[in-house]
Amino acid sequence: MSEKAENKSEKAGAKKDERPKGPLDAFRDLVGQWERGVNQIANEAMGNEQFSRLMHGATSAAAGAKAGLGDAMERYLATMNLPSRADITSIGERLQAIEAQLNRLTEIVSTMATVDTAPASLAPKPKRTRKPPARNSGAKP
Amino acid sequence: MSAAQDPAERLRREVDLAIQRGFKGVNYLTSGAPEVGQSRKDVLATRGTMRLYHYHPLVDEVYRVPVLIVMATTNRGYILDLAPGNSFVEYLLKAGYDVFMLDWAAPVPAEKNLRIEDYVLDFIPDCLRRIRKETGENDVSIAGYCFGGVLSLLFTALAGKEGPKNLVCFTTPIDFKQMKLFQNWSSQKHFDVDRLVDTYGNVPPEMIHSSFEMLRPASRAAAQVTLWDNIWNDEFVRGYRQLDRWGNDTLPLAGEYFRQTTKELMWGNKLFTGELTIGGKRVDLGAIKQPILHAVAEHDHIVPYEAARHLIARVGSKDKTEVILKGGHVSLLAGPNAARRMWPKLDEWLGERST
Repeated sequence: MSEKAENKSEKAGAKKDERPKGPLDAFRDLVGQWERGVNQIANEAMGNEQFSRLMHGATSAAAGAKAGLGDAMERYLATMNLPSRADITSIGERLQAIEAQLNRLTEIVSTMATVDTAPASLAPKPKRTRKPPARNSGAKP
Repeated sequence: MSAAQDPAERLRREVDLAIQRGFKGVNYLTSGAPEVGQSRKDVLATRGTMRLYHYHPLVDEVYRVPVLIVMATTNRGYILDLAPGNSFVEYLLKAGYDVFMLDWAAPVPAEKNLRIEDYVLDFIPDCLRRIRKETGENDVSIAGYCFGGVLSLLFTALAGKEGPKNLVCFTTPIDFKQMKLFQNWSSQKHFDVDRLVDTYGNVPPEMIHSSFEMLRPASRAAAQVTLWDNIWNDEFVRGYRQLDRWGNDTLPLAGEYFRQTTKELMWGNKLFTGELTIGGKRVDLGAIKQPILHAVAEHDHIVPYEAARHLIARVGSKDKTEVILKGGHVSLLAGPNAARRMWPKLDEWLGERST
């Protein structure tokens, strides 16, 4: 059973267990067995080198197609006098550099300020004096 | 004959459930996405892909040492704060911890050049500096989940005195050769990682999501059948939708970070062999002297125990604990079983070390 399915089953586990056995129980068992069986067979199949080669052949072909399409699109956009994705990314990079620089300046100004500034967090400030409770097994906070 | 055994009663119940499935199924298809991550929090810092949250304390007296949760870079942090009453973060807040989280937004194309160094030597130390300023405490505990655990481990090994007071790792791999399927899929013989990264920039989230799904290819279909079977059960459906939303909300990975992870960790297994260098410094797990807790899951299909088991032996800490709990990669830390098993165990360990 998958992690997600496992969690989902756990969530409703108690309720499902309480439910009386019904005509669909055989079907439920069958689904569970099918899932485990298919996962096991698939894992064995995907663990061999041939699968890896095929998978990366497909990935590589997709990447090649994307690269080819990207080149063609870039030429088309240049002809139309429009910015390409690379141009926009470049502007994004410059903006990010400006943002980083602004952050650094803000930090410097914040450090230089002589008056007490408000804390960054608006959360209330509790006392930091808590001690661990005496433990009983299964105790909850 | 009891009502539960009476065939007529069982048939009546199945018919009743079938009708409810019809009504609730329509409701399921027409209702919006479930709310997640509802614990009150402030965003302390936003810097590119980095997000630092400070959760509002829920008690009047907290432990002296705050705790920073470092989320895995592939997924959103709200898995640890799914819903009130089903939230790891809420549990920690109620137990008296001052909780921060280093979460990740999807890296934008301009962040394709981020490397492990940026995460380990910039983002994590930056968060610690802000937490120290915010709380006035020099000591901070770090709890890293999955690859967040790897990043926390690398940081702690390199940070010396600037490191955390305590380190908690959840399902953290160090021997990447033991991640058998991922090893085969990223085989150096067939996988042209350079071409992938050079073509896409950042690795698309669909690719990351597919690789997780392929570990258990039949499980999505089986989960759909289980959902249909239980769609009359509101509690089940709520939990299903929260986890389903999270599972599909995979993040892209910064291209260089992915290239480096593939070459250094998946191909070279350099963290395990001791040859990994970050920012020009060799990562020596033996340099970690802090108290450390490593929690691993018995049925983890993403990070199998074999990939994580050497961590505790390799660190130089005297105070070190490994706990192996029932559950899987996610249910170790999220969901009802985590609330019964992992959360109290962590509270017990961390509380004593947070004063």
